[in-house]
Amino acid sequence: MKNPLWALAGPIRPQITASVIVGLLVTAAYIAQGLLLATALSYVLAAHDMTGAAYCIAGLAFVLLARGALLWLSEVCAQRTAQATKETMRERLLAKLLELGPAFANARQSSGLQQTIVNGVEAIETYFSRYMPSLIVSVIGTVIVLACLAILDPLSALVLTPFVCALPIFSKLWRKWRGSKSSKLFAVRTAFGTYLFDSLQGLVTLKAFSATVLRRVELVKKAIELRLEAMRTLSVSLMRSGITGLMSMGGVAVLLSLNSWRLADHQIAPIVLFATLFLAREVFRPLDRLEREFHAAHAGISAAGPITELLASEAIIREPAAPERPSKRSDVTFENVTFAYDGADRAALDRVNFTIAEKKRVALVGPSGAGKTTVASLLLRFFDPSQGTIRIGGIDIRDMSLEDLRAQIALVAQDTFLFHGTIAENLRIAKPDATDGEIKEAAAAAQIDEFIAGLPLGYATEVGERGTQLSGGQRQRIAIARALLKNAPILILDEATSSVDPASEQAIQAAFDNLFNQRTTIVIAHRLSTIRNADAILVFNQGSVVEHGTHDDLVSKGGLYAKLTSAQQGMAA
Amino acid sequence: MTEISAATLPSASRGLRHLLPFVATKRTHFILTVTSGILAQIATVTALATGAWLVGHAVQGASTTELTSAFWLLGSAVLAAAVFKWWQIFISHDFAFGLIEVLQVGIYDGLERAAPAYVMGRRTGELASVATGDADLMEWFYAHVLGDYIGAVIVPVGVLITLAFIQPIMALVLLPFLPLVASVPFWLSKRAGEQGNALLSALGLLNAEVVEGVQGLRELTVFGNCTAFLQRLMGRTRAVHVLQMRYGSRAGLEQAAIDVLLALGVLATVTTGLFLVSSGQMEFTYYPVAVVLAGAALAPITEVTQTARKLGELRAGANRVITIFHQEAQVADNAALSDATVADGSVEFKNVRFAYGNARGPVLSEANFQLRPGETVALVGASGAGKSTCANLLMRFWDTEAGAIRVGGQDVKDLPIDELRAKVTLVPQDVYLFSGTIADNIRMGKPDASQAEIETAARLAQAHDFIASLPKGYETPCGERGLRLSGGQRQRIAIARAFLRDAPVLIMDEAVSNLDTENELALQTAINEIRKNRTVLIIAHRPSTIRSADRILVLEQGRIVEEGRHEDLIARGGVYTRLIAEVPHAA
Repeated sequence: MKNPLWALAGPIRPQITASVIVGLLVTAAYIAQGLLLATALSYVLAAHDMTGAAYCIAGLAFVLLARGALLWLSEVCAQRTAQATKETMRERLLAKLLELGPAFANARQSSGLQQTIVNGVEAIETYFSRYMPSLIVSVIGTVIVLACLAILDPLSALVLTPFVCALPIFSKLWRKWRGSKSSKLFAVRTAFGTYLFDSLQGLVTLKAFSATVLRRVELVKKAIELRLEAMRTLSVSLMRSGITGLMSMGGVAVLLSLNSWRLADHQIAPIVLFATLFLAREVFRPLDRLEREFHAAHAGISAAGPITELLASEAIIREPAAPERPSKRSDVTFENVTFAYDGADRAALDRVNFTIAEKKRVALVGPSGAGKTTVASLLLRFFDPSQGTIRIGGIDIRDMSLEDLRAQIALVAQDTFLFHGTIAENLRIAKPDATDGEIKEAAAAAQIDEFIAGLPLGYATEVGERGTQLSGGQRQRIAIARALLKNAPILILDEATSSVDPASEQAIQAAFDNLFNQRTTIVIAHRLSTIRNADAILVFNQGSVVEHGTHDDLVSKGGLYAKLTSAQQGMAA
Repeated sequence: MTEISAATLPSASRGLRHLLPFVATKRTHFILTVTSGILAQIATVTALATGAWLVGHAVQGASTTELTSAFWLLGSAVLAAAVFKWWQIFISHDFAFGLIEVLQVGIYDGLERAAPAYVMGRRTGELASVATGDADLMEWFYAHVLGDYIGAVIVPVGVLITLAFIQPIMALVLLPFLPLVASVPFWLSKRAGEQGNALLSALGLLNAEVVEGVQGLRELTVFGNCTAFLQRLMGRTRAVHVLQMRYGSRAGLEQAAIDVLLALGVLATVTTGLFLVSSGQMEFTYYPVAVVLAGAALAPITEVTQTARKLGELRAGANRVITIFHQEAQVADNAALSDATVADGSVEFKNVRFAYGNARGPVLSEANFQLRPGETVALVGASGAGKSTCANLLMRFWDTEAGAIRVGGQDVKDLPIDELRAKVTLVPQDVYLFSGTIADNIRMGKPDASQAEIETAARLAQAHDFIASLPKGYETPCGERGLRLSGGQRQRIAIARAFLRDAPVLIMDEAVSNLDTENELALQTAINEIRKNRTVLIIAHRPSTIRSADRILVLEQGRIVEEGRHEDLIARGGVYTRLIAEVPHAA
């Protein structure tokens, strides 16, 4: 098949072959039915030969039962193809998604990706499991039925042939005329779904501002667009069904008229006419079936675009071909690192140099947008720098496997994502084989154990979608516990206690202090009071390190750090 | 997805018939759908019968001239059948897509009415899958089931009657097969329903987990959980497949049973006919017509049973759609009954009691407090004390269980909801930004606001500078996966929105997070700006905010336990002192 869709489905030839064989056997059963009926009638007509007719009826009964079994089998075959196709496609899509990583996912709407991976695959499956086999069966089956008819009466077969050929010819002409415009149905449906998803997530805000009506107007517009596109898409299958219907009934009618006339004119035997009555329809049955499947598959084909597109996306991060083993050391070095986000007009980091010695604690400070969080993103290889090199233990992080690299780093981020599931499940993400004791210990260090223990279900409490059942501070403490459980040699705390109330913050700080001596730690902090005892402070401004030193050095220097500190003290006063 | 499954509906009201009331809204379309379907079937049967009549007469030695009129009839019947069939497909889909549109919007309406109670705790991915996936599924019901089933009742009966005129005994033999065939989908209908439910739930789960995977991809990556995640999702996919397999296998069995029954029906009729002809009780001329009519009587039933494959899924989908569709409003709007307006910015909570349902105890019990117009009051208390609940009740997302809340002297229950929400506005803790531009998000406060008004509001909210510094300024797209703004920046956008709204009462649910100095200063300035000429209720966490309030209300275990100025409360040495003592920066 030259069809590009074919490449998506993976190795499903055996399943499709099985479907085709069963489909052809069903066609054979229909042929047998037509022939047996025609023979039975001609027996009765010729000599009132009841024994011959009885044999035919018995044969017919057998054929019908067999066909019932075959129909069931064909459904099972279609399901097998469907499952194999979907499994292959989903596995490839999900693996691709994971390969593309957070940088890619952040730039896209999650419900759009969900539509592609779940509903898109679900929609396109029909093409492989039902339309493809039907297409092959309709070509071979039609030829076989025509051949059977030709053996009885060549002229009958000849008359029906143009009616059979009309469909593919018309279909081709139509596509030429319409400029092979493919259906946008899937795209329009995704747009509608995404808009609705957005509305549902922000429903409370909409209500608070009485904006639900305005939003609804927009939604109705999108729903109308969806309906119109659905009708446009339908017009294609409508054209095909119309032609198939007309051609199949027209063909049979013309042949019936012709053969009745020929019989009346004594040119043919009655059995030919009976065969015309019962067999001519079977010529078109595979085509009818094909039309039905086309109607179901046509809309699904439009999902191929987003699926192919996602699969073709290039990951911005590549695994090294021959990864080096990570070093036993955990010192971190940024050498001349420059990086700009896509579409940004200035670099987020501009020739940044620094070294964090093993097991030392370094704080990154500076105004918003100075590039502090970018340091963390680059160290975790969510992005690669456009220039310069980042090393851990002297090894370029691009030469390590991503798994090894990320195993060395624990991150507590500003915004914490919790998965739907229990608190324990969310903690175990960091260490799937953690014992209950370990989990409790980590939670205690993150000052959340008491809260969890107070819940009726304790660690088995569901956190809700994105952790909505918990407050921001509780979410963050769970993230801290998670990082503690991971127990990696390098720890990045990006505003790790920003949502935690000050009382717990101090306790958590104490927990971290125990860790700090054994870990290389990067602390990104707004509250300067929490970083006073860092081994070194790097002050960022507009993508560059503008000052570095200890707290006392920097204060006495009277630069940006000193300004930031005094501003904060002014606030607290 | 048990919450949205049929379990929430009383068993008596389950099923597809709940989809029927919508048909009434498109009566003409529906009548045309059914009519065109029946006409198409009649024309088809006529064509088939005429063909058979031709055969019967030709084999009995009719002359060519005797057949000519039948040729014409046959031709017209074929043409009519094709045209009617074409028309039927068109009109039935026009009808179906029209109703799907109604359902989709109705799902939004239902969720809107029930929000936030119903939406809370449910996964958006699952809800969205109802609105998109399940609603689409209804195409089958409206385009392929409804009209076809009506046709499948009328046409076979009509054909059977015609057959009875030609040969009553054959009609009698065929008769029992009609109800027998029609009953097949009911044999396993309970299992079909269960399988359909299980299947859609599994699909909803898969949807939700994919969404979470996308949103939580950073966590998965950092913790090296990608493989585990992939395995779990593939497990979910396989679970869906197993259910689909089971479903398909049962549906295939039904289809086969129907096919066999139909064929046996025709076979019985054919055999009866043979005996009748051979024993001379029936003329051979009519035999082909009788055989074809017997087949044609059953054909419409075959047609509908093709769609029966989807019935279980349809029923489950319909249940989920209808459950949302019929969500009752969380609070009753008295817009039609009342034209009460809010006189000033005073707020009063009088003996308010409230619980979120039976699972958790009462959140508020006997909450009493008052806000004078123009006053800024800080509401403080430990987490879970009921602070956000006060905001939810004041916005009337929920109604109180007992007691009353008054705004401007009016009980909120007596105010039209639009009036209430025009006068009371909210800066939430987690600000949700819609996809669209920053300007769009601010404009939500006042849909007809000019660009200048938006900028003024943003300036007052101390948001203008950071917005202007973005490459696309106010036209920067934001939303779920768009621009990453810090919590402080998001709150300032929400404050700008509140400025535009210009409501006399503002509820501010302060972000808990520590902000950098720059953000904190800016936010403080914005709050100072917005509290001018407004009644402000701040759910406060920051010592500086708490102290700058005119008055402080201390909430503990669902009631106000202390109130007064910072100094007074400190002097008192009660709950407030304890609370604030834990905040080292405030000492």
